[in-house]
Amino acid sequence: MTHRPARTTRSGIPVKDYYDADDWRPADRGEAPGAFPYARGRRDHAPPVGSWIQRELSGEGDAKRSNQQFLDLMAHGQTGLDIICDGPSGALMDPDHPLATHAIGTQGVSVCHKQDFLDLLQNIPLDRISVSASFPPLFFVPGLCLAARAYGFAIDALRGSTVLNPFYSEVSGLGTNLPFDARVRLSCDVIEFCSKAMPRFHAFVEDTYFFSESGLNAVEEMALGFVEIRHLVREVQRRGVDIDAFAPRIAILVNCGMEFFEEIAKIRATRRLFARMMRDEFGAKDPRSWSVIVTSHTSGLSLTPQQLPNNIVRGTIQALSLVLAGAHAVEISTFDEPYRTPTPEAHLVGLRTQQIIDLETGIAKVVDPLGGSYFVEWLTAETEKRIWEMVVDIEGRGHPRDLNDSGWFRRFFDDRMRRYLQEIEQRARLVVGMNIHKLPPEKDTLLRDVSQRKIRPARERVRQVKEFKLNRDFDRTGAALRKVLEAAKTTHNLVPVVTDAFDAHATLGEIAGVVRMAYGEPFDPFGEFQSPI
Amino acid sequence: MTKGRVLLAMLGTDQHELGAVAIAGLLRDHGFEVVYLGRFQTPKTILQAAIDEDVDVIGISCHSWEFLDYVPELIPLLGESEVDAPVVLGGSVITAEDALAMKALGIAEVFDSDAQSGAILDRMSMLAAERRARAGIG
Amino acid sequence: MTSEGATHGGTGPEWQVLLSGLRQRDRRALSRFISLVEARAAGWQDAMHCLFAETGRARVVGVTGSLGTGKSTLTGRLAVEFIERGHAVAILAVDPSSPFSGGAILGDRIRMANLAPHGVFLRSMATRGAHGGLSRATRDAVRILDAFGFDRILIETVGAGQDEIDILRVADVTLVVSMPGQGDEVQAIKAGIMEIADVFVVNKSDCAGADQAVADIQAMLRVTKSGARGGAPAVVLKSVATTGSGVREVVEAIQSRLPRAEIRRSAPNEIVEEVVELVDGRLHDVFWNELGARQRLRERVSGRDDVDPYLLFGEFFPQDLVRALLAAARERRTSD
Repeated sequence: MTHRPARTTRSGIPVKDYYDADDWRPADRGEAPGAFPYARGRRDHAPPVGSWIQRELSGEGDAKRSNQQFLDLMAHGQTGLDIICDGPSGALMDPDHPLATHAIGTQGVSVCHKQDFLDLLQNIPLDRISVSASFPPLFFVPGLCLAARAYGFAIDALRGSTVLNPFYSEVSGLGTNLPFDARVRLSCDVIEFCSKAMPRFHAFVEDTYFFSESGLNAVEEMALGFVEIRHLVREVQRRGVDIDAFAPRIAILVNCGMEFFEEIAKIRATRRLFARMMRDEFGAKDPRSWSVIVTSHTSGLSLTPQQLPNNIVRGTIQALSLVLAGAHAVEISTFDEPYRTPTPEAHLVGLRTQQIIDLETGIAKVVDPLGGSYFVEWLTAETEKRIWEMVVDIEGRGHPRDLNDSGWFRRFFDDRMRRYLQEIEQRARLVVGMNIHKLPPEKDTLLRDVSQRKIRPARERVRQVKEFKLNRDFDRTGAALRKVLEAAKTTHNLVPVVTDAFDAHATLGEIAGVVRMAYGEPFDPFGEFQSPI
Repeated sequence: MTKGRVLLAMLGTDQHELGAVAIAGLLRDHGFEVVYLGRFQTPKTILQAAIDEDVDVIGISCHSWEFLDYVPELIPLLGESEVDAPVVLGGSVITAEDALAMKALGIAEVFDSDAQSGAILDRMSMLAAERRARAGIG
Repeated sequence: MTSEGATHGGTGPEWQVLLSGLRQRDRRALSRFISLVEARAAGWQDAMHCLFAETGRARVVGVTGSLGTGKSTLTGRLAVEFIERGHAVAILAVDPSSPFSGGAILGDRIRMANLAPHGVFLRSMATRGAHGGLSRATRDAVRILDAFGFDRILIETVGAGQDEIDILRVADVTLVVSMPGQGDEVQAIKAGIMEIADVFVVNKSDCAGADQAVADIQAMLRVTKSGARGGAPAVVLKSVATTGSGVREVVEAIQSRLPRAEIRRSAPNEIVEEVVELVDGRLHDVFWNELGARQRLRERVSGRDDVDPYLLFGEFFPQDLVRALLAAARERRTSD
């Protein structure tokens, strides 16, 4: 039985046998790297080495253990940090919440109070290394500021980013049990705060990676991403913040799947769309506002629990396409991803893959080496067109809050999740080792022992956090929490009061709880905890 | 007439719903009534829902390892409350060894990432039919 | 196999055990009872007959309105408000069955997750082919919950169509939930369910256009008959279910419209309708399924592309029906 590849891309774009001069819009032929509309990249030159930030997803157990992970990775040549918090922290729950017990530190780092942030970021040169955090921004930015203060770094010197996903978080695996309006407001608070106080920090990172792991294709991923970016930009503008004060710090963290050229075209198209939108629609004047930074995680969903070594190949191919597309930072989802967050062994393979691409292949010597390829240029234009059509379609359906509340977003994701699994089952999408070229389980053993090694929940945190809560000066903590509550009921920016609350030994779960209360929600959506104030 | 009522849930802070949503659709498209509990469930909330909804099968989608600790709590809890609906697990994080351990605890079936829709439907139909016969709902 | 006769394996459901479980307020007995009645398991009418005398104390609130209006969230909020006023609350949440597969996804528990600590009994029901916004057994489930001792029963209807008027015959008070900014929403109300509402709730009233939505409904009320039961006139209220704002006023409007008599009995015309429905349902099952009429019909048309449905109807309906009913009657006599 032969399997010819489908004659469409993953996004359903039909492709011909070959492309020539008829397919490339003459209008785009004059585009240059480092110039509007930036399809060919933000820069017109490639640094000699390390032209992109090389980082691997890390964070497990408590903050101290995670900090050691960071230091180990930096010793191996990692040039940025990529921190993920554990499930409970992501869901804005303290470790002593009954729902958190079995997940503390198993899929990221458990962080809930000031000392955790200090432990997490100890001995990290925060003014030189970029700290990217998959962590609810309203909580990460204050934590980072407190750590900077403790270790003598100026706030305005801090680098890195924190991801935003207020529209889709609840329906794509980052549920925080905050209402839609609160999520949008928190995002805008962080963007506004950082635009003034942290000029080198990217507080506005549209994380299309996370929600597109629900089986979205490249066009859908970017369309939903643009819908969110556009809404947030309008909201921040409405607060009177000048577009050029925050647009230069907007970045997009994209997914990268296996459809090689489509992923490259997606990134090029995204840069071009963004530039036109910023200049022509939002009136940005600063060229830095036009050229969006694109970073990426390679797709965890594309990896298989079968024949784990194949995942190293997948990561390599995906990273290659990202470097060719001019990604600003790359994280390779490691071979053990189907089972866990990375083992030290997998970390090293991911990092070494990036280093080999960087130092041995020479493909990063030239900016946008695929520029001018008939096919890549055509696909870039076609992808751009389709992304924009979908943006217009979604925006025509109503206010995002209504699309959220009426379940439209939810159904959108549900449909894609079902479609993804159907494609695999019906072999419309071939995945080696999963639905074709399978191995019997007894022969499929390579890297299995490493990948299936378990991380035990850091349950000692339950007792520690309980003791922490008992032993603090609650008069001070309670007063700080009340300030958060009062501020959350108004339109005051929450970042300073949340920073003060952490400093007064409030916890992440408590702060989130009082923000919920300000929006008429219960302090704890699961009814296990009562408000301490 | 329905093929059976199936509860679908995810445990603790496990939030990746892709598998659960796809299975819910598959079961609905083949005549099952799916009581979709979604994320953030615990043995206690699953027990409560299983009782109120009188489901025939309890399905738990696993994308984190929380099931390793929750299943040993859930099975006895269901037993104490005389809930006789069989419990099945699904998810690609479940290793072969985990599957054996889970079955030893009383899990009726484990579906890994190799499980085909047809096989899942057959097994779910059988488990539901057995339970409905026991309950006289038939 | 008829439900009046013996069941599979010769042992029917243990109704006596379940009935006494119900009287001891055992929730498992309650939920099993509902399942069996919903499935029309052997002896279900007798069991319902045993219960019937114990019903009439509960007050039933219907909540209907289109998808996306926040109906589930509002229902959850109402439940908590009733509990805080000392009531025992149960919720029936009705969702559509797929007309193709007969399956359903019942997702209301997600939106009512906050009820768990309050001890609310929440049961999801699929329509199982019924139209009109409820399932065939919804009314039966209400009576079972009533007999169990719940005194406030909230029913959330499917909320998809404009003709969801079944709720009127089951609920003592009916809420129609809408939201601002949807002109077609008001059209929907006008087209079908205007007359059934006792309380209109404009939910999400913190959104722009809430006052306009209220005014639109009030304007329509002036020209339409409302207050379906001829009691208190319909009222239009605003709420924000996600924050709980306005929920107390909605509950007060409901309470003031509930029947005062301690025991509420169906009116004679309601009984007529209910019995007609029961007989219809039973006839449908007996004729099409148990006596195989659907199968015979399929065989008649199989492999032919020249079938005239009107001819077939004329021929099939009286003859086959009579034959099938006679056969059923014979079988019944034999088994007696």
